[in-house]
Amino acid sequence: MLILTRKSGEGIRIGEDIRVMIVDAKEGSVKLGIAAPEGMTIYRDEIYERIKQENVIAAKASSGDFNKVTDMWKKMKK
Amino acid sequence: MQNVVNERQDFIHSKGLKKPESNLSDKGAGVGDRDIIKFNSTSFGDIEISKSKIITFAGGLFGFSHIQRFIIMEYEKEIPFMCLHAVDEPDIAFIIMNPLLIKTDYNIVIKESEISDLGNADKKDLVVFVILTIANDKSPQFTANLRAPLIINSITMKGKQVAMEGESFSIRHPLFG
Repeated sequence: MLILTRKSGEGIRIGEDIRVMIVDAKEGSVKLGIAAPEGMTIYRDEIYERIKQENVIAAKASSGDFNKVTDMWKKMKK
Repeated sequence: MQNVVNERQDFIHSKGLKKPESNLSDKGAGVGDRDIIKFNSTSFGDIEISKSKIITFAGGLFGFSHIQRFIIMEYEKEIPFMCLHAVDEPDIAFIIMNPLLIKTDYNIVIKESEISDLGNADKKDLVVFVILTIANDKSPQFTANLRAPLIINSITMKGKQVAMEGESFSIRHPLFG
């Protein structure tokens, strides 16, 4: 992983299109400003990871899982 | 800004997965062999479906960026759960549903720019689903991922999973109270 030291007001470029600025840095947190092309998705790392993990758990639904959820739904609707 | 009303259903394969006698074929509906795609599902066996029902997720889903072609199939009539199945990976299948059925005030706002790659869409052509997760602890617990819904443009048949901002959208919303 590339590691760079930057101060408030400085930034970096990733390729031609992406610019990341250090807006503020104090008390253990850094405020970033990100300029990227429209349509490019930017997520907080931990949110991305949580959604990814949830997809991985959900990805192998079996016919047994469908039967279970269908049965529970029918019971609830009674 | 767009919010989604979930009116359209006609792009969903509606033969039902559960009927054992069903051959899941679209033949006989005036569809030629050339328009049919066959693939294998680990859970549901051989599936034949019209190519027109394939939904392309160009960016994949979170964690599955390499899988782009999916279909949506009903599981059983009158049941809101559907199967989002990968066409090219036999064991990738998700249980999905209309989120409005479990949370009537589910209201997502999507930036136009965020779904510009789905093609021009009228609000009524966009359909939203959420993915269910099952946890088998003592008894099966189903939860819905309200945080990262699937948005599908039912005209262009392009889809995308988007992440909502804010903790009010639970990743594990309990399905049965």
